[in-house]
Parts: sequence; C-alpha cells; structure tokens
Amino acid sequence: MTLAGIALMIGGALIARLIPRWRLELLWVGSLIALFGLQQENGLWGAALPAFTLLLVIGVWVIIQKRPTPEDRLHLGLIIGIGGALTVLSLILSGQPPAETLMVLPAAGLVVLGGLNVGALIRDLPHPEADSARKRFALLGIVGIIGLLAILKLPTLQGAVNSLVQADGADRLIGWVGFSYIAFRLMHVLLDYRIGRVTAVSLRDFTLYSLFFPAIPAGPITRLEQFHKELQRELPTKPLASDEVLQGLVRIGIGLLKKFVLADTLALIALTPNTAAHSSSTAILWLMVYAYALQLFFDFSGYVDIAIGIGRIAGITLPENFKAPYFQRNLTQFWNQWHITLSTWFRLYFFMPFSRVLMSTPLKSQRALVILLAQVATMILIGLWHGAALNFVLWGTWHGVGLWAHKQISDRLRGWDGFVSNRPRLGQLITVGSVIATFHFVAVGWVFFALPNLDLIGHTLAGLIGR
Amino acid sequence: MKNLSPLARIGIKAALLFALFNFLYVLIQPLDLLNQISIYNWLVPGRARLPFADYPESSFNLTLNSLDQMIVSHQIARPKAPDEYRVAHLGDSGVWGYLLKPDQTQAACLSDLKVHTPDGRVVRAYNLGYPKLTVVKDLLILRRALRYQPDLIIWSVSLASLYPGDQLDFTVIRAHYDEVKALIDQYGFNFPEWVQISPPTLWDRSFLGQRRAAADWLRHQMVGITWAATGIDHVMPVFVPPHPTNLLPDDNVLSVNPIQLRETRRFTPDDLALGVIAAGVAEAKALNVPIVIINEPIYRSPNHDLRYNTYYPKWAFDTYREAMVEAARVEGWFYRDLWDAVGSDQFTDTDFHLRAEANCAFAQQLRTALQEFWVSP
Repeated sequence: MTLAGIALMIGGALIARLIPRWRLELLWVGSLIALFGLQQENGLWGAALPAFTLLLVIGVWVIIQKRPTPEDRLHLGLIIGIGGALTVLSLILSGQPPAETLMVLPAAGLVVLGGLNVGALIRDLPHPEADSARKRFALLGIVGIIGLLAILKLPTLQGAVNSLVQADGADRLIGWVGFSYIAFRLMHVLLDYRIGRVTAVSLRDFTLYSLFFPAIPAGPITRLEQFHKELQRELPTKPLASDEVLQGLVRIGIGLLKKFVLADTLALIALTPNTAAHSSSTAILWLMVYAYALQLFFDFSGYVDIAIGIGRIAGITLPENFKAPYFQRNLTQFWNQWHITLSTWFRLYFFMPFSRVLMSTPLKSQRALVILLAQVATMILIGLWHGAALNFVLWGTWHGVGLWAHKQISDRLRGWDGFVSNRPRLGQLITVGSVIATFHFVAVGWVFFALPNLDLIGHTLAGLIGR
Repeated sequence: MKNLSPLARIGIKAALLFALFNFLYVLIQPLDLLNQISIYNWLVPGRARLPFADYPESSFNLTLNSLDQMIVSHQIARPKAPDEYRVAHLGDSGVWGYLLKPDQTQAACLSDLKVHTPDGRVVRAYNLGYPKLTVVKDLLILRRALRYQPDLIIWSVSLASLYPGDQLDFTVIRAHYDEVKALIDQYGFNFPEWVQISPPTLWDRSFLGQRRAAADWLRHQMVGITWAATGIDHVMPVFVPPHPTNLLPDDNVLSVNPIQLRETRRFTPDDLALGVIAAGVAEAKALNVPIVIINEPIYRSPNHDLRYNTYYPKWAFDTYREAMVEAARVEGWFYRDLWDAVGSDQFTDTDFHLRAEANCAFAQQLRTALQEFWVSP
C-alpha cells in the first residue's frame, strides 16, 4: 500500500460515512474498485486475478445462500457490470496491446450492458435444499481454494501456470494481492457452512465481508458473523462529531508512523540474506535480528492499524491482530497476541480437529506426542501460509516444538505457582525473565523466517552464539 | 470554536501547531546542525569514501545531498595520528573508485605504499573523490576537508570536469546554493548555468521541503551499522560492459561553447573553469595547505585518428593540456600531467575508471609526484 492508496481509502471511507443512507453500497463499490486497484500485476494477470477473485466470492456465496432476494439479484448484476468494466479498464491502463484490448472491449461492453439483466438468471441457479449436495460443493470449494493457495505459494507451480499465459511466464512470479487473506475468509465460511454454523447474508454483505478494502492487503482475517454484526450496527447520525472517526484517524496516524517511519527505518539494519551473508560479528548479528523482529512487528501491525483505522472511519470495527506480542511471558501467550486472527483461524480449523483425529487413533494413550504432532503440524502450516519453502517449515517447526516444550514445562512447574505467588519480587523477576526469554526465542525463530537457505541460517545461528 | 465538532477542533489545532513548527524550522534550520553529527567515527568506523550509491539497498550506502554529513561520516573526520601526513585526494568517479572496493582506490593504494615524508611522517591518503565531473563540487569538498588538518591535497582533474557550462547541474551543488553563491560573489566565477538556478524557496527551507534530507540523514546513520558489519559500500555488477571502442568518426566535443571552439579549435585557460582551482588553491594556501594538481589518466584509443576516447577529440584534449600547463606556470601551481600514465588496456567501463591493479600502479606515480613536491614545492 502506498501513501496515495491509503489516502484514497481514507477518503473513500469518509465519503461513505458522510452519506449514511448509501454507506454500505459505497463501501461495497469501493471494495470492488480497490480489489482491482490494489493489484500490482500488469497486463492480463492484473485484470484476470481480481476478476477471478470476484467469481470465487460469488461462487462461495452461491453455495452458502439460502434463497436469493431481488436485492441479491440486483447486486449480482452490478458485480458483473462493475467487475466487467473494471476488468476492461485494468487491461487498458496496464498497457495491453491495443489490438487485444479492442478484441476484449466489445465482449466486455456486452457484459456491462447485460450485467443488470444477468441478475435475473439467478432465479434459475440451483440451490439444492439437500445439504449433502451443498456440503460437497463446499468441500470442492475448500479444495479448490487450497489448490489456488498452493499455486500462489509454490514458485514451480506458479511458473507452470504462468507459462500457459505468458511467454516468459515460467520465470515470473505472480503477485495476487490479498488473496491469502481472502482465501482464508472464504475457507472459514465454507468450513463453518459444513458444520452448519454459517450466517446467511446478502450477496452485498458477503462481498463486502470478503473484499472490505482496508483489509485486502494485510488482513485481518475477520469472521463473517462478527463482520455482519458490524454492518448492522447503528451509527451516530453526525459522523464527524463522533469519536469513532477521530479514533480512526489517530489509529491510522499510529499505523503510518509504525509502517513508514519505524519499520522502514529498521529495515535498513534488519537481517536480510545480504546482511547475513556478509556479517560475522555476534553483536551486529544480534542487532540485525532485533531490528528484523521489530521491523516485522511494526510493518505488519502498522498495516493492520491503518486497516482498523479506516474501518473505524467507515463505521466497521475490525478485530485486533496484535496485542503487545513481544511483551508476553511465554510462547503460548505470544501466539495468542501475534497475528491473532490467523492463529485463531488455524486453532479452530486445523489444530483442534487434527488433535481430535489424533486422539481417535492408537496415539491417544500418548497425549504429549499428540500435542507435539498437532502443534508442529499447525505451526508448519502457518509457516507455509507465508511461503512454500523449507525455511518456513523450519520456522513452523521451531515454534511448534517451542509451544509443545512450553506446555510440558508449565505442566511440570504448576506446583510452584503458590510458592512464587507468595513472593511478589520473585514473581516480578520471573515475569521479566520470561518476557525476555520469550522474545529471544521468537527473535531467533525469525532467522528461519528471514533467510531462504540452510547455509545462511546455519551461518547466522552460529554467528549469534559467537562461533 | 465551541460550535465546531471535536474533529474540526483537533484538525485546526494540529494545523496551527504544524504551521508553527514549520515556521520555527525555517528560522532555526536544524538540519544544518544535524548534518554536523554522525554515528560514523563514533559508534561505527568512518567511511573510506564519500557516501554514494546507485543501488542503496544492496550497497549499504546512499547518495546524500549534504556535503557536511558526507564529510563527518568519512574517515578523514577522525583525529589525526601524531606521525600522520594527511593527504586529501579530490576528484571524480575514477578517484572515488567506481567498480572497485574501498581498499582498491588510488588513495587506499597510496596509503598502502607507506610513503615517508622527509620529516619521517607516514602518508595517509583519504579518498574524497565523488562521482561527478565538476570542480565546483571538488572546491566544496576541499573547503570541508580543510577542517580536518590535511597536510596536502591532491586534486585530480580532467577536461570534462572543467567545462564552465557543466559545473552546477547537480543536486549536491544545488543543495548548497548559498555557499556556491557566496563563492561566485567572492571569486567572480562565470558559470552560464547560474542564472537558471533558483535560490531555495521558503518551502525548500521548511520541514516539509526538507523531509527527504532529514530522512536521508537518519537512513545514512542506520546503514552505517550494516555497512560496518559487511564492509560493502558499492555493489559490483556481475557483468561490467567492456570499454567502448567504436568511437564516433568525428572530432566534436560536447558541453563547451561549440561555435567559438569550432572556429578556434583551441582551448585556452579562459575556456575552462580554472578560476575554481585557483580559488581552491587560495583557500588551502590561507591555511598553509599545499595542493598538487593532477591531470588524471584517460583511455586513449589506439586506432582512431580524430579522438582519444568517447569524451575527447584529440584537438580538444591536446589544447586543454597546453592550457593547463600555461595556467600552472602563470599561477604557480604544482601540476603533473599524468594523462597517459596508464595503458589503454587498464580501463574498465569508461574513459576514467581504472582496474584495481592499474589504480595501485598509478598510486606509485602519485607517490613520485609527492616526492617531487617535497623536494621542490
């Protein structure tokens, strides 16, 4: 996100807030525009990726919807119309050869003109009452989204797909802005649908949930029921007099400071493959690791602050994603406060079901082993969400084993709780020591995250212990 | 004010405070003070050459506009050793060491020779070259180098660094408008470009106008840490394009008054910005610091009748050399013409950039020039 992009989003949110009657419609249109505007790819992919995202969102909604209303049909037509127009605009602005654009224009024009009428067709769309059929569709959707994520994260797969479209495609990686977050929102909906927990919402609200513009680039991964409640919330009649807009602006200011001042400055001394390869001083390596840890936090939480701030201006409260993660006493608490919406997602949809599955196997007698396997598998998946590479697997394993070890140690030390609670000074000392130890465990873990190959990781870890 | 919404009240107060801050900023100009402060030579070692970067992220370096900040982050700003004979080496990218490591530059090679002065001190040369062909830039650097007790200055020049019409079109020089104006007023330089250069506006002096310079100051301190850790200040390309050999079949020279030169086909001292060198010599002389002026080596095409290289037709460079000799004689400068001191197979990508080995071989010629100067200044 650039400063200009952020300014546009703030402006969009303010305009929507100033026109209460059309607020949600304006936010919805703004989200459609942002979906296309935020894509960094040029050419065919720049137009195709957001168009495909829209189709995916509509597809998921079709699976979970009960019975479309006339309003849904109108919005479907509008999505097709606006989406078609934005696709054509993306092609033109990205400098596609005029001949190709001209070929696309008549077809897209027909889509735009016909878009409003297409909504009528939804009456004939199948919406089987039989849950089993829908659940099969939902499963298919989940598998499809995981497949797309695999293509997005695996350079080899991505190159293969890209080479089908572009001559030099095999060597280029596609940047599908925001898809990691959109995919997890959609999967949450499909998974909840399969267990009968999903809230039925209108197409407009569902599209807005999936593609709410401040949350496209860096989350958070909201839950449908929470977001839907926000959409239905009564707002003060005088938006500019409300604290919410002011709080939003302050939050954006904090986010800008974190992202563009602190994170970007720390990036100059943060651990990178280049700095790691050329540094051997233990003190400097530690400094780089600390800088990387803080840079990552300020960068990511800064983005989320901006998203939350814009959401506040728009009258939608997005969930917190970071709550002082580096001041936590242990790794479990760290993961409760770092990228909260992602770790909650994995806890709900992978860790718990996977643990239940393991507990139904002969392994159930070895509870510690079940926890270890579930923790490591969950953390490896979180690692792979960041990128399909060995270093992310190692990072996930580091944290998985760390979480397991913390559980084992805290279980064994529980008997000491009373002893410590009677000695406040000792308790404070242990708290400070625990916070420092937890931070350093996480910071060393970032070495795996930041460096792409084993040699560099080994060189850096050895350097950190002065070897 | 009471009828306004909280948001409007806060907005107005913030705008007023920001305007006041900018007003005070314009008056105080805190960046001038900040640019005298650096973590270099304090928390991290001083840099071996002035900050300059084509690729800031990978070279742990960046291009600054403040010469004060450049010089305080340089090794020359550290205390002088008792037995040190401090030599500041001014010049262009050839002196800076483009495509070379910091320990392969002419200054580094000269220091490595461990030359002893007649009074037993050891020559320690400091690379104050900067990749731009203009002697005004050298004069500005020289004025700052004089703050750090140099015993002698080597000033490498070439014809292209002396074109009066090409002295000022350079961000670093424009960033020092007031100082350049004072020098022009004091020494009467005649630069055709000067009339086109606008003085800094109120906006340029405000915090908003100087936000980039302020951010650069901070970034420069931060990259000092990674630079100190890695020792890298310049990215070496994997592939260096070979020196151009297909010279144009003409004898034109760019950037100088072409009509007059086409008629006379001769450079005279008046066609060159020699007044800048004279000003540098005068400023150094006021502090008893002598200057050795060097006509730096250039690539010479072995098979072209009209040109030596892409920059210079033969008639232009030959008459320039004559003009330099004449000016040195009249002004009493210690001048050495080393234009052909390096073989043509020892150049890298341009007509001025030498290979590492050639740089060190050339440093021996600089040593000879110094020894000659000590015998007969």
